Amino acid sequence: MKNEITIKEFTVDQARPLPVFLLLDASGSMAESGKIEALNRAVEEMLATFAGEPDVRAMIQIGAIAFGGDVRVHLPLLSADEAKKKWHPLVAQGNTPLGETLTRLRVMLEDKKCVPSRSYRPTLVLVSDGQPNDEWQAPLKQLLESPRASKAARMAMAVGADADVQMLQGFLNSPESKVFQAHQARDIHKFFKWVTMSVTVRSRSATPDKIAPVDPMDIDEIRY
Amino acid sequence: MKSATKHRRVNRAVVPEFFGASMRGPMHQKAGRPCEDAWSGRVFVTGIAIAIADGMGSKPCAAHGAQSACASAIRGARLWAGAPRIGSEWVSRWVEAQWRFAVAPHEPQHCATTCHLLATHPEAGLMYAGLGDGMALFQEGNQAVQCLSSRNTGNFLNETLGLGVNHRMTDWIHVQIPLPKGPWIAVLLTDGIADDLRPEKLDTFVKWLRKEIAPHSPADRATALRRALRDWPTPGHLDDKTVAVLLSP
Repeated sequence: MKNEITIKEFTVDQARPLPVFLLLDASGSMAESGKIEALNRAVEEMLATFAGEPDVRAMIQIGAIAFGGDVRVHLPLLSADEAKKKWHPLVAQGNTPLGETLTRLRVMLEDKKCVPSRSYRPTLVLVSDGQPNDEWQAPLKQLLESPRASKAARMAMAVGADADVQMLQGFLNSPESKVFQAHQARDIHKFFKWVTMSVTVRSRSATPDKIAPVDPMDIDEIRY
Repeated sequence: MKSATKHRRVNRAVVPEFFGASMRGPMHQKAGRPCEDAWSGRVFVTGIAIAIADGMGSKPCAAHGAQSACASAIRGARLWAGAPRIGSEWVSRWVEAQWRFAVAPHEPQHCATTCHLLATHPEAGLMYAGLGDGMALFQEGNQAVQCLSSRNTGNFLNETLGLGVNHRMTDWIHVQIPLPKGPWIAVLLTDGIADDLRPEKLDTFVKWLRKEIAPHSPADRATALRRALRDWPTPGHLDDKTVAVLLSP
């Protein structure tokens, strides 16, 4: 009997990844006014939508870094299905070590085992409600200058009036991109609907690497 | 005069042979666009060459750019095969200039494309010159497969260097190796294939080309390759796909 070699023996069996990194503020101030609960609910809903996406061109992967007191990988980069299963709610505590968070993100992005070269451009999402209390300017500069992060799509949300909008605008690093400002807990939900829509549009697209700018202020007009 | 002509005739029984195929990917099928990959191969009096090119999808004349890159690369290889001491770096400079003439009157940036070339010469061995995403593989006998294009690892998909894109001459990769006395195989791939290959299974891929494709007749090889590229199993694959192979006699 002839021992035939089949193409499946040497090709990858997964669609090309479309990574989404969430940088989530879990500092003590997020415990106020139901913000952390709203954030947890919004992320859960987003993961459920991603996991339910049928027949996508790109495999959506989610990773989350939480910063509150310390910096921890709350969710390693996983497929939407696995991320939905592994997700557990954030607990708000401690201060806001943003600089260390940005460094951790840069290291993950530059690790080709974590984000292989066959990936589409990642989406980076930063959510914060306060002022960073570590040195963050240099880590942000390093992140924005790194070859991989500089090509990523970036989105940012300022939660409440105390958020450092200027820092978040610096993360976006583009005058055309605007920081989404959440004044109430339900705005957090709106922002994540926008993130969900942006990512799913790309994952269904024939050109998943094309990143169309969407004004977060148009969020009410988005239809699925 | 007659004997001189006879002397220059190629003895095809002792020179390597080539085959290859391009297949339009699902993205271009859906958009009604042509295949923007190209490949070419040619036997010379003193050598043989294959070239592949991957036109950049966002450019209006990408298909024309890719075809012109292959034609230019083959012409450069012919010059090298006639006088290999000119070196592969000279060939890449010649390809850069020749390609600009070939795409005219279109703007080079509207025709942007990668370009990879493999050529042989009995004394100078195997020469590889490549610019941009894509892959060049070489295997001697049953030894491990070597990746000649190992520096071509972009940050993410579809971000590449190429003709018609700002770059430096030092972005070209050049490799020259002696040709083994025993059997060998050399392969060029566009990233539509290269990105979907499991890195630890490159040996199996090359073995597949040797065992499942090469034994066919020359006409059937192209058909078998096109069928394989059409039925590509990676979920969600979109790109055009091209493979070109040089095989020792």
